[in-house]
Amino acid sequence: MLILSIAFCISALSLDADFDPVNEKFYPFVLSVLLILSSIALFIFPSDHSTTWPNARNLQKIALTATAILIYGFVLQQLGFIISASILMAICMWVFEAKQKWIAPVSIASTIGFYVVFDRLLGLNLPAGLLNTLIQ
Amino acid sequence: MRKIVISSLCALSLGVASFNPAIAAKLSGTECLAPAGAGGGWDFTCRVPAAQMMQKLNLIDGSMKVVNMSGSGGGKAFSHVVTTRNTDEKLIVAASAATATRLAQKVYGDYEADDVRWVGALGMDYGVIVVAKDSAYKTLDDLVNQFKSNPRRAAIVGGSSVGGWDHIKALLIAKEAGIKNLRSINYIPFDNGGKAMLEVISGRAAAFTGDSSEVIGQLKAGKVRVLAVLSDKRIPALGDAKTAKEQGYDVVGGNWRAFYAPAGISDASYNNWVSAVKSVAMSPEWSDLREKNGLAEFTSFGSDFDGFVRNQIANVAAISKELGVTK
Amino acid sequence: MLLHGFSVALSGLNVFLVFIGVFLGTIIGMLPGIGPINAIAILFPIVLQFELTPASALIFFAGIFYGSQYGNSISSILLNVPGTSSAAVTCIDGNPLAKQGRAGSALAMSAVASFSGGVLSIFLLVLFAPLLSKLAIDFGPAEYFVLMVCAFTALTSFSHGSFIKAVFSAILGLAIATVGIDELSFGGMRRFTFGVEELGDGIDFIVVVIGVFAISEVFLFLSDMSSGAVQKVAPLKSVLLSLKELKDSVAGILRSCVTGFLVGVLPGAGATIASFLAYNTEKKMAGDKGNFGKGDLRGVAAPESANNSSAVGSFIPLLVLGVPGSETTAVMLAALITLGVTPGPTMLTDQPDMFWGVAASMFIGNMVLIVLNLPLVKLLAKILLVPRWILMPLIAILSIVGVYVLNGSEFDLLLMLIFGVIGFIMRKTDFPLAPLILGLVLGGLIEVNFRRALTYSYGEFSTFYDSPITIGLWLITLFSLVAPFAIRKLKNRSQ
Repeated sequence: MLILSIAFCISALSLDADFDPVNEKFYPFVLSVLLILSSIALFIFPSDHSTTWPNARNLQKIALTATAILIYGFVLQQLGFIISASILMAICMWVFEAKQKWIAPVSIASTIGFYVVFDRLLGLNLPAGLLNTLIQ
Repeated sequence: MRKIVISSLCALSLGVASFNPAIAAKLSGTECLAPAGAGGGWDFTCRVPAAQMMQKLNLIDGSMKVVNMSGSGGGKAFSHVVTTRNTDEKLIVAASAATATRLAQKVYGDYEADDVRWVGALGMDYGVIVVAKDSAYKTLDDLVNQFKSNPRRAAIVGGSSVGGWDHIKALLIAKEAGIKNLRSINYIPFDNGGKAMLEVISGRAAAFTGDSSEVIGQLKAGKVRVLAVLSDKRIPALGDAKTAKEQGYDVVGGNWRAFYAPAGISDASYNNWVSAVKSVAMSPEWSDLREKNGLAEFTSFGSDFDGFVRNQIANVAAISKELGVTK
Repeated sequence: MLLHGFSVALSGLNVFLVFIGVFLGTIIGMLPGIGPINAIAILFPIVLQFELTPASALIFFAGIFYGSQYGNSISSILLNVPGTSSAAVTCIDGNPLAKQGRAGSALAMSAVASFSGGVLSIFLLVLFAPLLSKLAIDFGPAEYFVLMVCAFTALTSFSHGSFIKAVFSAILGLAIATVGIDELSFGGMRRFTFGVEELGDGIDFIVVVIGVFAISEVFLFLSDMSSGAVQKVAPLKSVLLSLKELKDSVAGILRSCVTGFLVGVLPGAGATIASFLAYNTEKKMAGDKGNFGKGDLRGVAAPESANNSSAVGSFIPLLVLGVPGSETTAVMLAALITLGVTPGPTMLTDQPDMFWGVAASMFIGNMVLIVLNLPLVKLLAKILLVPRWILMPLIAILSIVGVYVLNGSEFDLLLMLIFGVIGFIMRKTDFPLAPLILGLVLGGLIEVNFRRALTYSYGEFSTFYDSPITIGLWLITLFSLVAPFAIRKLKNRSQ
């Protein structure tokens, strides 16, 4: 954390500007100093809170969910919302140990539901992707 | 039978005067891209003159979709049009003086005016310099003299960022007055013109630089005085406010409302859009709406408009360089 | 005058518009990522289609506005997914209550507090509008800066355990807010964008909120999941609020209403500061007797009352000065301009129906809100009975849709994920989230106003303490820092 704060401070100082309170550099610099001070304070006064980190199995689940969301972002435009979100929903449901028989119907139905509400009723565009000709 | 009744009812309710199947070139499934969120000038340009008026005047087939794409002061929409919609014949994009300013200052990266086709403008919000009603500055000369003698005590406020169009307008006057150090002018940006105006009314700021549509309300309420309008002729909506030209400062500038289209569309489609914008601009309905929105008459289409935009970009680029906004 | 307003507001069309506005607003408010601003923009074509008068249009918008604020509190309480910054405060006590099976009571309290805050502030609006509009004019950059500093005293209320962690969290929020193009420097300096084009506009607040609250909630649930075990859901307890609970919160609702209203009047300050200040006050007032942070109904009542009254307050600069006080009212004003209204102080004289009609319609709207929502409380609370294996994936999907439609950007999804991980780690290591949100919301404002004030004064720092308003605000700041200690000292001595 301290390292992070110092990095922030250095990048604040590396902003190309004159040093002047009215300037774009002063404020981030003040912030970075405060960040450093508070992270030092955290080292000096550690709190008695004990953290229970997830076990390996659950950590895997978290990593899987995060990766799935990441991949979703990359394939959204090509595959379109309905396909990519259905897959994401199915993965999430699997991670949450849903009963096998429910996964396909629930993920497809809920995704279509979202599409109708957001894209059709509210007029907020979600990419149609592969299904473009089918749903236009 | 029932179907016919319903469709004729629809036609009536939409205010379509007559059934006219003859226009063959009408586009269907059209879209207007507003490069900012709902509620701004670009959004208005898409929603009213484009979507509302073009449908009302039967210039397009069916309704026009308005899509908001905010980001990088319009840069996101600009690069979206150039990179992924370059041949979309059904797309127009709202633009204004701010678009030209940012192109001139390279805010949109390496994109240039050439990367799109400029369709036409249909209104102008002329720039104004405004002071509080009981301000000591009675004429533009008074304010300019203050700038020359002690700019510290005369902060000027506006609704655009530092180096933005409102700032530039004030600097064009300063430059015309022969002020060398343009950075000495104390400009403070606010979130919008309305808030900036409160700074003038409260007496914290000396003057406001902005568009005439922003000041009409406060002017009617007697809270402010217009020192100068940056137009060729006086504007009726601003009463007897003098132009900058009358006071010896040859500065004309305003925020025009216009459209551009993708560069890769056919000449036929381009001309189609030009004539559609022209028809809206010339219609009495638009001139009524334009007046209500505080916009002055200003029309420029096709290649004329293209030249106009390039000229403005050159001017802004020059002053930005002088100011140090761009290197 | 108000009677005239009621005659405007009670016309068949306007009552219908209020009803529809509140209803649609509530539903839209429940969805993360779309707030009142989008709702108004989406529904604006309807206004044009039916050629509504400006007064009717504004009545409709006002309905959407407070409907969506209430809708927001629903998703905050039930799912810990706040859609706006002010609702993040409601999460602090609302969600723990829901997890204890008291979702019904929390929702009911939120409805009652929103209603009372809304209605009381309408009286304040009618009585003090012209007077308060002067306050909005007198508030310059220096005054805003000191107000923000004052809001930061609320930090002391949001630390559970370590105060340093709360401070760290807040500064992190402030730091995140500095990312992006700096509007106040020549040429728009890009700060901390690391060459990423998308970071130029800064990090959208809602992306962070959905990340640290909703996505981290999903991760948190996964991390504590034990395989094969039946996923337990706390049984729903009574929906009703006891008389004692209501009595306990009355004073808090009143105080929060006044705070919210005053802050709401100031252009740009808004509901977030109001909610944080109100929560802070109530927590301090309760002292050791409260259960704040772990599920106290008063912790739901305070921010809900404050944000509704600040919504009403934000109409004052709009209606009296013609200057939008918040992003939401800015969109409303833009819509009114399209309908031919000239913005400015003359709106009142040009459109007499507007002020009084809107005031009266707010009253009716709040009635509709409570009539519509109290019966629904029971039904809404049942959402929590939906099995986790379907609710959690739904929260995930809802979040990614909400974040995507915000700007139509895949990059925001990545940011959301990053903040989801940050939120997860923070919650695991007991760093409070609320200060992060406070820092993020105030970050931009505090810096911009600091620099504006210094530009005015040409670097003279005296500008921050040479007006009666700034001095008053410093005193309040000092008082809210010292008072809790002083009270404790006095109590100890008397024992």
